[in-house]
Amino acid sequence: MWLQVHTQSWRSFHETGLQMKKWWLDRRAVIFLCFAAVACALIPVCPDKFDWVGISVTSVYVVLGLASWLDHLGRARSGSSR
Amino acid sequence: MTNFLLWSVIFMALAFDFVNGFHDAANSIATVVATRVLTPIQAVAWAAFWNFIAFAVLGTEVAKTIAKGVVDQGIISIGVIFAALIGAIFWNVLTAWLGLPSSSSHALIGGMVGAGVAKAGGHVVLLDGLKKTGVFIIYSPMIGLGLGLLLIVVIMWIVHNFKHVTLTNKIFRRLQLVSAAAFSLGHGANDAQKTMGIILALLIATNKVGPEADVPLWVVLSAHFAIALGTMFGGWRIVKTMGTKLTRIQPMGGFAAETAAALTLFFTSAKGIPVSTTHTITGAIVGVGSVNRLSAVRWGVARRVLWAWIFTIPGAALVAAGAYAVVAFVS
Repeated sequence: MWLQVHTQSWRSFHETGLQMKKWWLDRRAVIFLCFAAVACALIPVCPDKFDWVGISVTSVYVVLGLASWLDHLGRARSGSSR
Repeated sequence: MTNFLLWSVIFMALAFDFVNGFHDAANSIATVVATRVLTPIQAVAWAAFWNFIAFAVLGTEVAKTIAKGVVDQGIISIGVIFAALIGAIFWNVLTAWLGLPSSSSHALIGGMVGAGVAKAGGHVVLLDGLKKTGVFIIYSPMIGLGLGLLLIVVIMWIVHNFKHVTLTNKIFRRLQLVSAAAFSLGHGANDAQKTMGIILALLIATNKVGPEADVPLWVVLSAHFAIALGTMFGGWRIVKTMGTKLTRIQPMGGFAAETAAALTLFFTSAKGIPVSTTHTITGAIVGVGSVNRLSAVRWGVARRVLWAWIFTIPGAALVAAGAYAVVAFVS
């Protein structure tokens, strides 16, 4: 009896986890946000006259990361998970 | 004797440029061959033409960075440039054997740093120039990737209501001629200028031109001629192999990737930043591939590019330093 309840709660916990993963984790968004972090970290090393390049690259990757995550969220909601 | 050595090293630099054209031709025209817009020979002639024309379009800022912005001009000699070229050539051959997609440009810069440091110590390295090159080793593929992704999204958004798939493909197959030409122009501008920079540094070191001189026209023309000749001679073999192996290339994706990489090369060439054309086009292809899903991207290639990023400059510098030690011992 205890084992059955335990198994059921574990299964439900596991399914909730999978659901969360489906909704929240998007590898593409994570990679783009990592790129943004790398580009941002390089700004202090960049020669002064090219600072704007680092800032632009960082901004573009933040936008791409957020757009990818929203795209993923939209797909997950409409039930067509990738 | 000095003149003989000078001309021998200039010839060696042009040979390095020739091999660069030989290897990199495939980057710009493989997609045009794969989609059968041009035959391999026509495609190579197309790329070589745009490689050569680049001298008239994109200036010589990169050459000045290589000649005057990597190591202190005062220590440059024929021996230093010879050792730098040996370091770059050895590193290119080693990485080609190991299957690492390393950059000839970064190898050349690493070679100059290694030979310069071996001759006169660490203080001769010009940090501003090196920082500019080092930062753009990482930024240029990132810019290519971002632009590639944005371009393919915009293109897909424009054509998604267009019902005639065959006609769309036909249009993009034609447009690939333009994007391949633009990429070849960028390749010619950025890569040929590295050789011009090496030759300019040699001419300044041997007092053939003044320290503030521009790149002489004969140097510009010979560097572009060497890279175009390399493209003509060797490129078609590589293109033929790549063009037949790459069976799933879509004209739209090829157009977006080449255009994104060309835009990145135009920007960096205009600003005098030496970048790797191979890494830039790799970034753009990854960007276009990632529009659907990341599993479409060959991450193994991206990982190898990363290793090449990390090791090329120090590796080539080490070999060049060793080569300079031999030169100094012999002379």
